[in-house]
Amino acid sequence: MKRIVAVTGFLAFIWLAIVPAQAEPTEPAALQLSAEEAEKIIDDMEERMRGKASVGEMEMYIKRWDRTMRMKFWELYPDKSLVRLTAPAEDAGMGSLKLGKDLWSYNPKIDQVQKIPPSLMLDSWMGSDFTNDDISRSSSIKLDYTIEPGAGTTYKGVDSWRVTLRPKPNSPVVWEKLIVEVARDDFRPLRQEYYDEKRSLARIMYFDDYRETKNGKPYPYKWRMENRQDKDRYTEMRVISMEFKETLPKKTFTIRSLKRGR
Amino acid sequence: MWHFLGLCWRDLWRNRRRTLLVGFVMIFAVSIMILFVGLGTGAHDLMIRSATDSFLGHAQIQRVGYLEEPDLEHQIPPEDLVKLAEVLPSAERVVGWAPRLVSGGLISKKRPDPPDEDDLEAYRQMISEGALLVGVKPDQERDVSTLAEALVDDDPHARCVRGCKASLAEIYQSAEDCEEFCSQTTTEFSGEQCLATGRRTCAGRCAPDDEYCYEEDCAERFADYCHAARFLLDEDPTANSPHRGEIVLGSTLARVLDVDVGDRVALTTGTSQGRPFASLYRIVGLVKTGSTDINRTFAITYYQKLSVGLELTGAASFVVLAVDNPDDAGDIAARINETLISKAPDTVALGWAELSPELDIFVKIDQGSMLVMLGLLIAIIGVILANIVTMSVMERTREYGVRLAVGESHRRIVVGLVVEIAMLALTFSLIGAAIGEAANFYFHTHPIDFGMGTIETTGVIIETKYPTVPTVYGFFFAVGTVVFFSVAGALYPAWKVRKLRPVDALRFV
Repeated sequence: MKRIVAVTGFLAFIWLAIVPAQAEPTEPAALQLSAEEAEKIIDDMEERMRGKASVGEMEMYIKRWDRTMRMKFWELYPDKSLVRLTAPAEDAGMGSLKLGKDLWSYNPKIDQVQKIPPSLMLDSWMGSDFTNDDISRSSSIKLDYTIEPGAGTTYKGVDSWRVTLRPKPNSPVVWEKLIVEVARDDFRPLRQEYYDEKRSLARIMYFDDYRETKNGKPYPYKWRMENRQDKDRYTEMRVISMEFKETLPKKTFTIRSLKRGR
Repeated sequence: MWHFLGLCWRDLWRNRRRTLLVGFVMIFAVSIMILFVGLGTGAHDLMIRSATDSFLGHAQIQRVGYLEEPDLEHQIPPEDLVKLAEVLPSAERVVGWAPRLVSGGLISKKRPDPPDEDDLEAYRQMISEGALLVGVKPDQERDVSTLAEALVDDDPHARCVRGCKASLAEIYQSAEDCEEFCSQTTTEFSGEQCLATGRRTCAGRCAPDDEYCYEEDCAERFADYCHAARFLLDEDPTANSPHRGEIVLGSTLARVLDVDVGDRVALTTGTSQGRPFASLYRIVGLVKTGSTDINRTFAITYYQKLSVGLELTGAASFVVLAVDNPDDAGDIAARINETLISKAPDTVALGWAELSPELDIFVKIDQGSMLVMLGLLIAIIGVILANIVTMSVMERTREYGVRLAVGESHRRIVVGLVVEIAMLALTFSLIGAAIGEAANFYFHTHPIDFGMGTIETTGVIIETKYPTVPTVYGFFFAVGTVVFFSVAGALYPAWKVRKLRPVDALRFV
C-alpha cells in the first residue's frame, strides 16, 4: 500500500512539474543592450545634442506662472555656457554663467554678480521647473552616472532603447536614477525620467519637434520638463534658432559677458 | 474645645527639644517642596517662552496648508489680513500680534567689481548663501518676539576700519592706512567724528586723470558705517527706494558672508509670480539667539517693502500672536478659530504645540520627569516624616500610661495625640512655607544660572538661566503633604494607645 502511495505521489509531482511548463508558451527574448552598447548610445546622443559648441535663442514658457521669457545662449562643450534674458523687458539683462562646476547669476537691477552656492543647486532656475543643478550639471551625464544595460521598447510608435543610469559612488547628484529613452534608428533622445530618493518618478523631460539646424543636424526644438509631483507644473523650452559651431571665443564665457552681454 | 486645644498646644512644648527637632524636619520638607515646585514651574514656563518668544510666537494664524507647504502660494491674502487686523486687537487674551512675510533667497556681500572683471579667481572666492528673508513690522514685532532684544553688541573701532576699507575699495584703493585712521575710535564712533574720518580717508585718493574715481562715492560709502548697530526702526527710512533697504542679519550668516554692521548685501529671491526680485540692503544690526537656524539663515527687513517686492502687497505668510499665558495658547487659538470661520475661513490659528511638535514633546517629557521627581521627593519626605512622627509619639508611651492610670480616657488621649501632631505640622509647615516662598521670590528675581547661556536641542531653544515661580498650588501642595504624612505617622501609635494598659505602658522605657 505504501509503495502505491509513493509511486502515485511521484507521478503527481512529475505531472505538476511538466504541465505548467507545457501550458505557458515561451515568449521571444526581449531586445537587450549590454552596458557597453548603452554607453555608446549615450555618447552618441550627447554628441548629437551638443556638438562642440552651439549658439542659439529660445523661449521658455513656465506653466506655473503662465510666463514666457526669451533668452540667448552660448555653449562650449564640455562645461561652459552663458544664458542671457532678452525679454520680458523688466528681466532683460539677467543671466547665468556656468564655468565648470561654478554657476553665477547676474541681476542688472542691483548690478550684482552672485555665485550660486551648492546648497541652492536644487532651487528653481529663473522660476522654472529646471534647477540650478540641471543648468550647472549639463556637461555630461557620464561624469556622474554609471550606465547600466538597456532594453528595447516602443515610445509613441517609435522603436527605442531605455537605458538606466545610476549615480556613481560619492557623486554629488540628487537623483536615485535616470532613465533615458532614445530612438533606435538615430539615437535621438525622446524622453528622460528622473527618480527621487523614494524611487518615485519626480520629473520627465520630453524632447520633441525635431528639425534640422543650420548645420543640417536634427535637433529637438521643443524641450518640456514636466513636474510629476505637481501635475499642473511644466516648463517648455522652445528653440527659436540653433547653430552648432566648431568653437566659441573664450571671452564669451567671462563675468564681463555675463554683465554686459556679448 | 479651645481649652482642649490649649492643653494640646501646651503639651507640645513640654518637651521643647523633641518638638523643635520634628518641627525642623517639617520646615525643611515644606521649604524644599515649595522651592522644587517653583523651580519646576519656572523651568516649564521658561522652556515654552524661550522657544516661542525668539521667533515662533505663542500662536500663529496661517493660511490653511501653509504648515505643510510654507511657500509664497500659501499666503494670507490682503483682504483676510485686513479682517484679522480688525479682530485681533480686541481678541480675548491676545496681548500682541504681528504679520510676517517669509521667503527663501540668495544673499551675498555687495562688493565693487574687481578692477579686472575677467579676474575669475576673485569671483570664485565670492561667497553667497541661502537665507530666509523675513519681513517684519518692527513696532508690532516687539510685542510678539525678542528678536529686537537679541542684537549683538557693536564694536565701533572694527566698524570704522570696515568703513574705511569699504570706502577705499569703492575707488579701488588699498586699505593700508585704515588702522591708523581709526586709531582714535575706541568707545564711540558716530556722527560728525565719523564723517570727518570718512572725508579724511577719501581725500586726495583719486588720481586727477581717473575719470571713474569719485571721492564723493568714497565718502558716501564711509557714511554707511557711521551708525551704531540697531534693530529696524518703526518707520522704514528707505521706504521710497524699491531696491534699497535696511536689513538685520543672523550673526552666523554675517560671519559666513564676512559682513558686519554697515556693509551692504545683495539679496535675490523669487516673487509670488515667479519673477526674480533683487534688492540691496545695508546691514544695520546683527542678532544672536539660541537658535542656530535664526543665527545661520535669518535676514530680517521691513515687511512693507518686502511685500511689494514679492508681489504680495498687503499679504502675510503668517500672523504671530502673543497671549497672556502661553500654556493656554492652544485653547486661545481654538477660540480665535471660532471667530475666523466667519471672517476669514481660509485661515487657521494654531498654538505653539501644533506649530512645533518637537517643543510639545520636549515640554511633555519635562513635565513627566518633573512629576516623577516630585513623586520621589514626596515618597522620601513622607517616609522620613512618618517615621520621625511615629518615633516621637511612641517615645511618649510611658506618659500615656501615667495619664491612663490617673483616669484619663483612651479616646481623649488618642484625639489629643492626633490634634497635637496636626498642630505641630501646621505650625512648622507655615514657617517652612514662608521660608520656601521667600527663597522662591529671591530666585524669581535672581534666576539660577547654569552658565550655558541659551542652547538649542533638537530644534528647541532652551534658556539655562532658570527663574523660580511662586505658585499658590505649590504652597498648598507642600503644606498639605507634610500635614498628611505627619498625621499618617501618628495613626499607628494612636492605634496602639487605644489598647494600651497602664500597667504595660509604665513598664515602657
